Amino acid sequence: MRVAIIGAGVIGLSSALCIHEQFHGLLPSLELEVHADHFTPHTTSDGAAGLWQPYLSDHGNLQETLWNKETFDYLLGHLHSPAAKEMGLFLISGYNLFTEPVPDPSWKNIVLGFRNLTPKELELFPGYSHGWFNTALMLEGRSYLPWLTNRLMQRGVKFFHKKVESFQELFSQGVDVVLNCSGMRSGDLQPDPELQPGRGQIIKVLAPWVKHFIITHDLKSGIYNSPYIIPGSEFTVLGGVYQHGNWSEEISAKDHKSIWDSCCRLLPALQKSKIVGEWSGLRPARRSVRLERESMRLGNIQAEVIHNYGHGGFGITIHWGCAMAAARLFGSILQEKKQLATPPGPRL
Amino acid sequence: MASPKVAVVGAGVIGLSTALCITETCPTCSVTVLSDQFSPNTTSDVAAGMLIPHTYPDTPIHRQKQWFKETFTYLFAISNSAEASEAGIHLVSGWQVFKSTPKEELPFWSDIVLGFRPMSEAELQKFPQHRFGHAFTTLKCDCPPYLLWLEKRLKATGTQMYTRKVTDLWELHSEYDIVVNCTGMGAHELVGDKQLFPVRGQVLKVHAPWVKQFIRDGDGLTYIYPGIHRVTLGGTREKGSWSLSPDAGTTKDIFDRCCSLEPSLQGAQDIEVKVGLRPSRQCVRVQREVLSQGGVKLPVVHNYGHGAGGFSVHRGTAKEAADLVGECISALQGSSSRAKL
Repeated sequence: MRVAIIGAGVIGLSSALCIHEQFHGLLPSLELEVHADHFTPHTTSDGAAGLWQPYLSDHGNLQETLWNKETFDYLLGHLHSPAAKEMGLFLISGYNLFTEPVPDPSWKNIVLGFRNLTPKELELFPGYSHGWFNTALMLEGRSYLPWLTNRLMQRGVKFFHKKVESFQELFSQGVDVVLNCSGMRSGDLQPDPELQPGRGQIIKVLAPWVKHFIITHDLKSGIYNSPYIIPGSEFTVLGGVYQHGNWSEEISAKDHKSIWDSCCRLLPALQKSKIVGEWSGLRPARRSVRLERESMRLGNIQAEVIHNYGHGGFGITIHWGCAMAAARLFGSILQEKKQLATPPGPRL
Repeated sequence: MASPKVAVVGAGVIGLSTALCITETCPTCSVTVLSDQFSPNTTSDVAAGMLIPHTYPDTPIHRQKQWFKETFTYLFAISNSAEASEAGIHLVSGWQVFKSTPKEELPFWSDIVLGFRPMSEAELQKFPQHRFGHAFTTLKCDCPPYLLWLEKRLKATGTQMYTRKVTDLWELHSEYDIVVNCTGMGAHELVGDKQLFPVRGQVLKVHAPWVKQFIRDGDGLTYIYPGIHRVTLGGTREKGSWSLSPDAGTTKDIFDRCCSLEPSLQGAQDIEVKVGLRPSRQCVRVQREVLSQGGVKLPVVHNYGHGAGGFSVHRGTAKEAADLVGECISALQGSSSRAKL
C-alpha cells in the first residue's frame, strides 16, 4: 500500500506522521513517501512565528474549533516530554488588543487562564480600550518541521524533492493513495477558486526582553492587518500584513515601513532592536479547510485523494486535529479496500 | 549651606537608586558614590531582580506596600518607554505554586502586580505536586543593565563615582556633610549592626531562551526567572552562611528542583553559578542618625537590610532615604543659621 503525501509543510509532515503512527503496525505493506518542491526551512510553515492562536471568530465552523482544540491538547501533553525543546514547543502568555468590545473567541476555554485585561494593563497600550490575556503555546516551524522530518525518516518514510505536476503522475507510478497537503499551490494540481493567497510579511528582530506576544486587532482592516509582536526562542517576529489575493512573495518596502512604525508605536523599546531578517509568504486562505476524500477514476483504477489544505493563517494551530481527521479518512479508505477489518486509532 | 556634599556608600541597587533620588529631591546637592564594588560585582548583580516582595517581619505592612507600590509604578513607566531595553526592565508573567494552600489567600501586593488571580485547574495540571497557585504579571530588573543604566543617569547629573573601601564612616566627615549608608551586608562591619545577618543564595544563570514564563514555588526556595539573555534558576536560603563559594552539590540540587517544575530546562546550556549574601534584617533600616565624636557631628542616613526584597522595594526606600537626607540638610542649615546669630 503506497501512500504519497504532497507537501512538506506542517500539514504534510504531520499528516504523514499521524498516518504512519496509526497504521504501520496494522498494515505491514504500508509505504509512505513525501513529495515536495520545498522542504524546511523554505516552506510557508517555516516563516510563520508559530503561535497557537485561531482567528477571532470560527464563523460557526465548529469542526475547525474542535481540530484546534485537539491540536492544543496534543501539544500541551508534549510540553513536559524530553522532545519539547527539539520540537520548538513552549508556553507563552500575551495580549490581544482591541479598540472596541468584541465577543469572547471560540478558543477561550482551550487556552490557559483566559481573561479580560485590567485597566492598569490597558495603560500599557494607549489607543486600545479592551483586550484579553491568556497563556498559549508556541510551536516554531524551524524546529518542528525538522523534528517531524527526523521522526519520519526514523520510520523509513522516503522523501522526494521534486514538484508534483499532477495527481495522475503519482498514480501512474503505482501510488495507491495521495494526500494533498500542497497548501498555497493546491490550485496547480486541481483548480480551486476558493483558495486564495493571504499575503503576509514579517520583520525578524532581536528583542530578547520581550516575553509576551502582543496581537492588535482592527476589525475594519481584518485579521492580521494590524501590528503584532511574537517573541520566539531566537528572535522576535514583527508583523501585521494580510493582503487577500496578492501573490507576491517579494519584500515590500511599504509594508516594511508600516510594520516597523506600527510595532514601534506599540512597544517603543523596539526602536532599539536590531533587525536580523525579513520574510514574505502566502497564507493558503480558504473559507473553510478542505479536508475530504475525493475518488478519481483513472483508467481502470480507483484513485483515492485525501485533500488537506486551505489552513490560512492557522495551519500550526489546527494541524494535528486535521492530521487525525486525514488519518481517519485513510482508515475508511483501507476499510473499503478490505485492507482492514475495522478502522483503528483513537475515537473522539 | 549652598551645596551640601553627600556621600553615598554602596553601589548596589540600593546605593545607586538612593543616590539618584537624592539628586532628584535635592538638585543643589553634590552627590558622590563610594563603593568597593560596582556592577557586575555587587550582590544585586547576582539577584534575578524580580518584583515579588519579601515580607519583613518587623516593618509595618502598609509601609512595605507603599515601598513596593512606588517601586512598581516607577519601573512600570520605564518598561513602557523607549528606554526599557537599555534599563533592563521588562514585564514577565507566570505562576507561583504551592504544595499546600497558603494561610493567606491574598498577599499584600496582589493588587499592585498585574492581573493577579488564582491559577485555574487546567494550569495546575502542569504541576502535579502542587495544589494551589497564583498567576500574575510583574516586572523584572535585569542586572547588570539596570545598575549600568542607574550609573549612566547619575553621571548625567554630575554625580561622581569612586572605587573605595570605606572602613569607618568617620573617614568621610572632613570631605562630606552627610553620609548615606547603603552598604548592604557591609553594614555588619561598617556600623557593627549585629541584627544584620547573611542569607546565602546560590543561583544558576542558564541559556534557555524558550522559557518565557516565571515559575516560583511559594516556599521561596525554587524558582525560574527568565531574564533578557539568561534564565535565573534558584535557589537557597542559608541563614547565617557567609560563604561566597559556589557549592557543586547545591548546583545539582537547584537544577533538579527547577527541572521538576519545568522539564524543558534539561536542555539548558551554558550554566553559570553565582552566589550572593542577602543582607537580611527583621526590618529594613531606613533611619537617620547623628554620629558624634569629640564634639564633631556627622549626620548619617541608613538604608540597608533589604534581604530578599531589595529590588521589590528599592525605589520606595530610596525616596524615603532621600527625604531623610533632606531633613539632615534642614537640620544643618538650621544649626548653621543659629551659629551665625
